[in-house]
Amino acid sequence: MAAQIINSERSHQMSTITKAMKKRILITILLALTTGAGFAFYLFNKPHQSIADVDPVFKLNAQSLIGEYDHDENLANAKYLGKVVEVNGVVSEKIKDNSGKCTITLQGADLAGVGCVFDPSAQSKISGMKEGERVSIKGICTGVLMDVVLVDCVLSSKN
Amino acid sequence: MKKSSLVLLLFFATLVVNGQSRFYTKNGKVSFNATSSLEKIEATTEKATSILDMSTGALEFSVLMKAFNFEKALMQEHFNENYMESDKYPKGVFKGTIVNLSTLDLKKDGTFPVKIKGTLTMHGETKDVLADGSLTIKEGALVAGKSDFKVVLEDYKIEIPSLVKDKIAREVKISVDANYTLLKSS
Repeated sequence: MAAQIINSERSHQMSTITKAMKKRILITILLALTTGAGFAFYLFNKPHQSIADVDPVFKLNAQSLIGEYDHDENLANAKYLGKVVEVNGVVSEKIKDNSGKCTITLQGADLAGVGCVFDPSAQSKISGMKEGERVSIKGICTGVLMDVVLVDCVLSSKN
Repeated sequence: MKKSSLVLLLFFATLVVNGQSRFYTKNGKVSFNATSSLEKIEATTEKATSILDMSTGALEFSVLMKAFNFEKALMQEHFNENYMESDKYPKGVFKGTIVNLSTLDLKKDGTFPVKIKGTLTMHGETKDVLADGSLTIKEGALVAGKSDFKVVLEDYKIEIPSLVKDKIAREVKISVDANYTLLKSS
């Protein structure tokens, strides 16, 4: 009996609370939902972030990077794949594709080099770059084919 | 003595022949399209490598999964982490031959339709692939190759969660476009 009374009191209290706060709760939920949806939409459409301000995990020269890949590809992938790497080397080739994007190759050994695909935002900075110039390029390592390939590259420095 | 020099001569002769018939690129363009009615899903890499031996028709193509560029960063992340497992399987490799090469008159300039047969390995699975393509010849040298073909994701054990199943096409169209240069043997 006592429990029933307390229960009914509680439900009475609940109903007054509901009346008083219903609107506020509803608004809060709605707000949370729209913010959540908005954030999800933002995340979903988020463009690529430039790695210009990201500190490289590794700094090394082109020959060493190629050497490590040549020696043991799996080991090198475990170390570098998907990581931001800064590579120092001599520009051996500069290729412009049909869409106007530039790719720069840093000299390695024989046919192998480090191929650097530049981020669209960094394109203007490399337009004056010449073959034979020594540069430092920061990019995300994607593995090796004939070249070790870095993508989303930005110019670290000319030296 | 005579025999060994003959072998040596033969060896160099094949080197020369190979040297003049093998073409390569380090900047091939490979894109794929898995667009469904609900969502545009496209990605491209311009760092595919390919070697094509014009004397035998042997063709090889390789791409790095992480070099595929999507418009949306999150889509790229999902592609690499959830679907292709790029850390485990960083490459996609096609190995095959151009089967109708001998029927083509490659001394003439022009673009010739070709049939390609081979195997595609990605996500740790290898499957047979048949494709139509074209080769462009200029002044007796191979300058470009193109091909379009389709693959079924299920064949490569690429699992799509049921929640997004309708957003990703079951069949993915792959386009290949490469400008070749002569591979000089040194």
